[in-house]
Amino acid sequence: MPAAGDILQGTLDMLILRTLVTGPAHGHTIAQVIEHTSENTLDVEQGSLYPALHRLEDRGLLSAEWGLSDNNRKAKFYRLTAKGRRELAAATGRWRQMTRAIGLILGESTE
Amino acid sequence: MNLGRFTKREKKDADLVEEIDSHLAHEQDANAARGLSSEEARRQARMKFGNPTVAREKEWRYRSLPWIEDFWRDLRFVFRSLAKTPGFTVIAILVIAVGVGVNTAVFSVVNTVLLKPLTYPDPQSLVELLNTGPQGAFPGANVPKFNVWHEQTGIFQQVAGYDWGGAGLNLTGGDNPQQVQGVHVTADYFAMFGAPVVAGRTFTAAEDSPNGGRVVVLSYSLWKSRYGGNPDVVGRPIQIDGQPYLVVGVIGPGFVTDTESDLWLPFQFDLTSRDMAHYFTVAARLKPGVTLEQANAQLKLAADQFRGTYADAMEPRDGFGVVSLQESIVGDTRSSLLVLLGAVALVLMIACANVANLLLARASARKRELATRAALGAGRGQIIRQLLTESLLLSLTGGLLGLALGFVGVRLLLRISPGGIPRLGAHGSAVTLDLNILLFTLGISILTGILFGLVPAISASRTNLAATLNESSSRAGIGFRSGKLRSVLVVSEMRAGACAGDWSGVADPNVFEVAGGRSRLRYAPRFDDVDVDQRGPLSEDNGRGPGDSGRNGPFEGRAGSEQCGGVVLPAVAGRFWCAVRYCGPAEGEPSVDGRRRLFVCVVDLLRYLQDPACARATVY
Repeated sequence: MPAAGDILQGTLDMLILRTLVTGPAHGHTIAQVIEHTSENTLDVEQGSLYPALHRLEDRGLLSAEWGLSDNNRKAKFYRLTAKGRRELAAATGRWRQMTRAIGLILGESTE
Repeated sequence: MNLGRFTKREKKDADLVEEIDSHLAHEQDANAARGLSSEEARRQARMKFGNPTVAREKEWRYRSLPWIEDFWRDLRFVFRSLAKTPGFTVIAILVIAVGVGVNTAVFSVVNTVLLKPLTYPDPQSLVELLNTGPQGAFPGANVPKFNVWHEQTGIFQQVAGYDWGGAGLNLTGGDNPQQVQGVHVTADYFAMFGAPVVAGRTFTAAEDSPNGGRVVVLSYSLWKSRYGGNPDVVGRPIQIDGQPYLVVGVIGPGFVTDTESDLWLPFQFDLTSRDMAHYFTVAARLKPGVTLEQANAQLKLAADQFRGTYADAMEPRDGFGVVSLQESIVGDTRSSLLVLLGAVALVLMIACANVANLLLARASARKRELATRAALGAGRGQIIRQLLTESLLLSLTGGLLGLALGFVGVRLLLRISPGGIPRLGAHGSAVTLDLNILLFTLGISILTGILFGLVPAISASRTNLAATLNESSSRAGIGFRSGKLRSVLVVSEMRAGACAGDWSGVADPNVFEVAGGRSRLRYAPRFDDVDVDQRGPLSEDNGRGPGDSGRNGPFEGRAGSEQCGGVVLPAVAGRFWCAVRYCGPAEGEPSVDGRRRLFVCVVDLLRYLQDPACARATVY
C-alpha cells in the first residue's frame, strides 16, 4: 500500500510543470516548493525527481541550463517551454476531470 | 520516439552526478540554516535523498533499451564460449547447415514448381484441354478434336496446339552442325502465351496451313548463341534437317515454355484430316469472365457434337474438359515434391536431434558454470535466454551456410539431371533465389534453433545449486533426467531416419521419373526381374516403346485399361512403401533372359494412403 504522501504515478510530471510556471528553478527548489505548497502532505521522492525532470526535458517540455543559485552554488535550472505550458494546461484539465469524476462516485458535493 | 534519450549516456550520467551533488549541497545549506551542525546537516541531506546510485541506475535504464543490451551482452558471451570449444561449434554448424541446406534445396524446387505462377501474362485464364472419361482425364489432341475446340469461340479467346518436341532437329549450314529442340505450334500459339517478339513476326495463318512454306521462329537463346543476336537473320533461310527454312521472327528472352524449345515450326494441319491418333496438346485462353465450370459445361456440348460428326471415335462416357494450365503442368509432381519435402524435413529433425544431443552433453560439462551464474543472481529465464541465444546463433550461422550449400547444391544437381520435373527451365535455370526462399530458410533456421536449444536449455536451467557447486567436477555427470532425454532423442532419430529412408524411395530417379508426369512414363529397369506371367491379363495396347514417348503418351488410346491389373509389386511395396500400378509389358517387347520388361507406374503415395482404391482407378 502506498503511503498517503506518495505522489501518484504520472502526477509528478504535472506538479513539476506547475511549479515552473512562476519561473525557472533547479531541482532542489522544485522539490521544496512541492512539499511546502502541499503543506508537507506530498513528499517528493528525490530519487525519482531527477529522472522525471530529464524525461520532461527529453520530451521538449522543459529546457535546462547550468547557472548559479541564490546561495551562490552551481545548479541546473529548468525552464518551462511553450510546449510544456500547453502540456500543463492539458494535464491540469485531465486531472480536474478525473478528480471530479472520482468525487462524484465517492458522493462528495463538488463546487 | 525521442532518440535523443539514448545518446551521450556517459555525459548525461556525469551531469546527473553533478546535479545530485548540487541538490545535496542545497539541502545541506537549508539544514544548516535551521541551525544544525554541518555534520548533521550533511547526514540528513543524504538521508533524505536516498541512494544516489539508485537514481543514477534508474536514469541509466531509462536511457537504454534493456532488451537489446541484454541480447548484445548474451551474444558477446556466446561468441566467447563458442570460441572456447571450436570443435563443437564447427560440428554443430555443419550439421545444421546440411539439414537446412537440403531443405532449402528442395524448397527452392517446390517454390519454382508449385508456388511461382506461370511466366505467361494472365496465367489464370490459360487452360489445357483434356479428354475425360471414367478412368480419368488426360491431355492429347488430334485435328478433328482441335477443330471442335477451335470452334468454341464463346468460351475461348484463343486455342493453340503444340507438341512436346521430338527427337531433335539438325541445324546445319554453318561450320558446326547443332542438334536443337523444335516444337510444332499452331499460328495462335504465340499470341495466346503472350510471347514477346524481338525481331520479325510470328507465323501467319497462311503459313500455318498446308503448303504454307518452310518457315521458322527462333528462340532468343538460339538467336544469341548461333546467330550472334544479328537481326539480319530474319528474312534469311537457315538449314534444318537439310531443308532451307525462312526465319520469320525471334521471340524475346524470358519466354519459358514447359518443354524448353530452341525454335518453333508451324504445324500446317490439314484441317480436313480424320486421323484420330493423338499427337499434340491443346491449350486455350479463356475469355474474360468465363469460369472453368462454364468452359467444362460448354465442352460437354462440344463432345456431343464431336460424337455426332465422328460416330465411332469416342465412347459415350468419354468427353472433353479443361484444367488450369498450371495444374496440368505441375500434375503429379506436386505430391512427389511434397513427400520429398517431408523426407528432408525429417533429415532436419535428425540434425536437430543430433545438435540437441551435443548441447545436452555440453550443458552437463557446463553445469558448474551455470550453477555459478545462478548463484550470482542469474534467474532461470536469464540462463535459458543465454542458452537459447547460443543455439540461435548456431542455427542462424548454420542456416546461412545451409542457404549457400542448398542453393549451390540444387543448381548442380539440376544441371546433372532435372529428373523430369516440369517448370525448371534449362538445367534448372528457373530455380532462382527469391524472398520466399530467404524467408523459408530464415524461418526453419530460427525454428531449428529453438527446437534443438529449448530442451537442453530448460534441462540445464533446472539445477540444484548446492549439489552442483559442492560436487567435485570429476564426479559431475549427467543426471537421470537428461540421460533419459538423450535416449528419447536417439530413439526418435532412428525412427526419423527410417522414415526418411523409406520416403526417399519415392524420389529415386527411376521411380520419380515414372511418377513425374503424364507423358514422361518410362520403363523402370529396377523392376525388370519381376516375373509378370503370374499377374493378371495384360493390356493389348500400351503405345510404343520406351524411346517413342515423344509424340504420343504411352497410354493414349488405351481402351483396355481395365485389363491392367492393379497390383502392388512386392519388391517395391516392401522397400519403398509405394503403391505401384502394373500395366503390363509392351506388346512385342522382347523378353530379356526369358523375363519380360514391365511398364510400371507408381501411384502417388499420399493419395494411396488416403484411398487405396485409387491405385486401381488412376490412369496415367
